[in-house]
Amino acid sequence: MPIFTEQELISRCKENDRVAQEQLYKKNCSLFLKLCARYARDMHDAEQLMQDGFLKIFNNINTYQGNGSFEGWMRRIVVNTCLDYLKSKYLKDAKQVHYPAEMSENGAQATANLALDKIAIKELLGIIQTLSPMSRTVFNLYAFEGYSHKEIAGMLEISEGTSQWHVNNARKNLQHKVNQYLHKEIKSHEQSRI
Amino acid sequence: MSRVEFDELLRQRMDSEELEVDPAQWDRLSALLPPVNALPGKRGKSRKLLPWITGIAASVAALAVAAWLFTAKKGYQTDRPGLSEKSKPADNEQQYTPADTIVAPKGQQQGVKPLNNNIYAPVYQRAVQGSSTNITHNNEDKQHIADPGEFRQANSIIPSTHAKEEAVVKNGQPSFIEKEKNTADEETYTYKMPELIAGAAENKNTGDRTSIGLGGGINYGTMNTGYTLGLSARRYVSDRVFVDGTVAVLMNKNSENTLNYTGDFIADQKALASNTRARSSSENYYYPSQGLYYIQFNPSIGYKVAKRVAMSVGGDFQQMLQNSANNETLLFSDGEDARLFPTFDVGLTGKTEINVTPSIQAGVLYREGLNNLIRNETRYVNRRYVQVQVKYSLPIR
Repeated sequence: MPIFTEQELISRCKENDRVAQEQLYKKNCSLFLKLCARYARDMHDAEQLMQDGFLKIFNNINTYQGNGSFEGWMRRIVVNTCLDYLKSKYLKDAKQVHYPAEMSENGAQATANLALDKIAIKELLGIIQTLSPMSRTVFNLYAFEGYSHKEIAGMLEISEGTSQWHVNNARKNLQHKVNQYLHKEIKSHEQSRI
Repeated sequence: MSRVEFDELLRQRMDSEELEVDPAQWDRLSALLPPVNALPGKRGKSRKLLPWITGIAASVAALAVAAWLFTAKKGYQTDRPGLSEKSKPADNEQQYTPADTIVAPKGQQQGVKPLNNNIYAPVYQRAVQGSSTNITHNNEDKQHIADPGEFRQANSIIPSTHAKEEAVVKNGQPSFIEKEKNTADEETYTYKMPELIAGAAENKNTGDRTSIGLGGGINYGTMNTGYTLGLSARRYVSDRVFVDGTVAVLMNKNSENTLNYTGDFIADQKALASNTRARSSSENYYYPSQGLYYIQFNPSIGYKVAKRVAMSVGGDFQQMLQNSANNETLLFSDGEDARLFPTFDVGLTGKTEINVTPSIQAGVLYREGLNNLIRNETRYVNRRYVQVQVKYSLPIR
């Protein structure tokens, strides 16, 4: 398979060249699958979202004018695909938030940071997928896509305070679950040694 | 470590490792992409050109119809000797056929009398010659009346002994007779033809009787907002009644909620309605993100209700221009319900048109789709819209 530059890939994809489309897909599929997996409920949904995202990219590639990064343009399409899916499926009734008591931090934060290195990416994605759809979405938009709380509030039609709460809540949940996962791993490791 | 550090570490961790993707995923995706032509790039170009090609084809068709209409009526104005034989009347019957000889016998051109404003009426000359009852066509003396651009007609006859009898009026052509001259040997009658004279007056006042027009419009509809461009031909069949034919290309912008669909619609209708985001286990539908193109034929009949205002009603036949291959249909989904876009769409139109200037018309058209009514079903999108039109007309006769 010939290797194309990014410009060649774009122009060939605009001409519906299947070789170029495959190359563009293979170059970005892992990145976009990870992205979709963070928003989705499970890996099956993530694969489906990635497929929808690529379909939109290929069908709309003629609208890409070359202004700005091509990867950024594709990424926005995939993120929007995920948001459309979440809005239609899970976020309709999730705008009214009942604020539960916040979890205590008691040192969980520090150990969680250390534990991150020891968890495989698939496990980490599994932990992210256990978050509630709204917290997962807001945290992804804030921590991974770099949107501000104001922007997120506008996108999801929630208040800025709600967005902040979801980010904090998601972060604490993740730290807690990462620690739990690490303890479980250590325990099973010790048991196997005995 | 701060909270932000946790986010940063999480991001780094995500970027540090690749996720394995099922290789079959690409096969599934490529099956949903538009088919590739033998030569890459050709398909994209031809798709872009499709509306133009269709538009040009529609223009050629409309011009051909207009030219046919024009040449068919030209027979009135030209000398066509063959016709005199066809229209030769039977014995003892006087028949006046305007398309017959457009000649006058030598020395009898004085019978052609101009009416008001140089509009010429046909002149039938009757020569009283004894008791002959035969009607003859004086083809030997045929001489074209050289008066360009005007309608003239003369026919030399040798009538019966009833020199003063009324001429027989056939096929509604001459409607009354004006006695022009009465000598011992010759009578000349002028036959005014009300339709043509009225038409000529119409030409003078409001434009020509046959015209072609180039028009465009904007459609406003729940699911059918878009643009149209087309050619039309119009012919007045009487003072106020006209027939009109339009061939146009329509572009509807329905891409937001339009899905390509390859499966059995009835079987999947329920599932689809409940899952409009094209991401259930069914792979029969997906986002195409494209506009809809239709070619339209809109014959109509109209009535001029006032000097500048005309109203018309007609049938509307539209053929979808894409997705004819691969058994694909297009489907509209608004989150609550799903409907098929008809590939051949039948409808009714009603239009009100105002002459802004003699050449420019503005109009409002309302269209109602009839597919569900005709087929007694509810699964088709009713392509109902209001169209605001502007048209430039060019008289051809």
